[in-house]
Amino acid sequence: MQLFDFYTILLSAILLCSIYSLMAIGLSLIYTTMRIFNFAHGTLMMICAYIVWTLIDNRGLGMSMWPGVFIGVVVLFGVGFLVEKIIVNPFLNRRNGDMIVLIATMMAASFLEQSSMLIWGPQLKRLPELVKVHDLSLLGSNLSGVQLLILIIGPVFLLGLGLFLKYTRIGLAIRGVEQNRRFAQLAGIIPSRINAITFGLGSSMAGIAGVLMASKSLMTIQMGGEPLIKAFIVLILGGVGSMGATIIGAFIIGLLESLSVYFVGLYWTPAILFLVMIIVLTFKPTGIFGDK
Amino acid sequence: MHVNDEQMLAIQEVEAGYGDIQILRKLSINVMSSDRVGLFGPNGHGKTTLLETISGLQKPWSGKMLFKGECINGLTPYEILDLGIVHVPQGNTLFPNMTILENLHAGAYSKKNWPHRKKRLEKVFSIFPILSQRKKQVACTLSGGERQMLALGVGLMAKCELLMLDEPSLGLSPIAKEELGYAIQKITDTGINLILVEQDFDFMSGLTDHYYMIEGGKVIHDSTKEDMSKSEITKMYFGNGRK
Repeated sequence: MQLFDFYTILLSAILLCSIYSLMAIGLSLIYTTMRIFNFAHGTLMMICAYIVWTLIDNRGLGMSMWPGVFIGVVVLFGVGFLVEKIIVNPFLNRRNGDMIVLIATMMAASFLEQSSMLIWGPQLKRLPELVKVHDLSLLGSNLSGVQLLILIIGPVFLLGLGLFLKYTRIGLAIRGVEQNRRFAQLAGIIPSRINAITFGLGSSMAGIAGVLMASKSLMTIQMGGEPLIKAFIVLILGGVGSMGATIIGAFIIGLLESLSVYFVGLYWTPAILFLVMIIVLTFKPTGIFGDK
Repeated sequence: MHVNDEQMLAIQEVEAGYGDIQILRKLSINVMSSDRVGLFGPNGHGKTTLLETISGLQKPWSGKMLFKGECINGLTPYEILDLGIVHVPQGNTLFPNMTILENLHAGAYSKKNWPHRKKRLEKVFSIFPILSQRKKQVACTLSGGERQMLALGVGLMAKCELLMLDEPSLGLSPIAKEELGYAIQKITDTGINLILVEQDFDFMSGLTDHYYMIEGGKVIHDSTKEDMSKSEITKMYFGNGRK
């Protein structure tokens, strides 16, 4: 392997890490705070992409690009908030609540997908280029505008989320509910409200991942399916519990994917990822960095 | 009783429990504004449940709870906290992966308390100087005594008129216990009412002046410091068989 190839593989791994972290971080945030898996996560990515398309495309509202993306991400916060209030919160404290919520989020995913099909139709859509720059060369590899965007937006949003959780009042409460729900109540924190906010935040993170995906390739109603699986693999590999674990998990998956594409071929990649996942689950069921 | 004594908390024939299991059976206690109340009695007879019912973690099945004349039945924990009733539970307190400072800030989460957090932080640090020296230390690495101090500190970050402590001395070394007792004394000296649940009668009697013995979910003995000698307490605790 030449040095050039090594850089290409590394760059590809970093790019994948950036987008996979964005996909997985919302899922991880929701899981650590509420102990539930949100099977509508991929669908929320798709919804955000379509909302942004409606806002900025000429056939839609024709807004300018970045305000459209911003509104899309904010709207997704609201969607997530409502999804939690309507289909998660009522079941959360019931007996077998985890299982009911699991099914409920699957149903929500199906509902949202079918509704989107009715609203936007089955035609393929494409977001306009979010940045208009010429391909530039980095470490001997070509980097397109969209890739550059992914390289920047991923870390910016992850850092933003990290700072929000670390330094704001709401962030403090989210971590409080995650670490000790009962004690949080006695400190005046309202877990049900924090749950809804967390769900909203997670959905916003899914939303930005969806927009990036849609700017990379064509949009379809089913576009959230694969990222959902990827996000799960990232979480299982890295272990839930901290943002760091999720990001490193995303990087490992990204690296594995780049290596296997380079050495084995594209079609083997999913098989290799699942194989690695099974091996990790066999020897360390809590994930590489998980402790619980 | 003092001249300006007013009723802080009145618990009137409260019944409560978990699921189908009734714990509190028409329990009544009265806390006057000059009172420092100690609750004692065997384990599993309702002391903790009583505190949980007052702080809103458990809903009372029947009966009435009045705080400064206002009914607090059915209020949520945060509404009760905003009234000035602070409950420091027993065991499993704190946010383990947060620093001391973050734990304290979380204690002031409520919208009413958040603007006062700086002032309250100074107050907590003046009572527990050790917390200010270790601001950045993560809570799960603290010793038992330090954890208990921090739990108290988190409680004091809220507006506190009535402080309810659930066995704060449990599992502490004699020295840590003494330090904690000293700190609780300092807190009640500032005019905060106290309800202290304790197994250690010596610890409790040093800090409180009105005792309720709770057994089988109700008060079976109610006395003040003056009219109760230690030997009587011992007798109540262990029965008459003890020589």
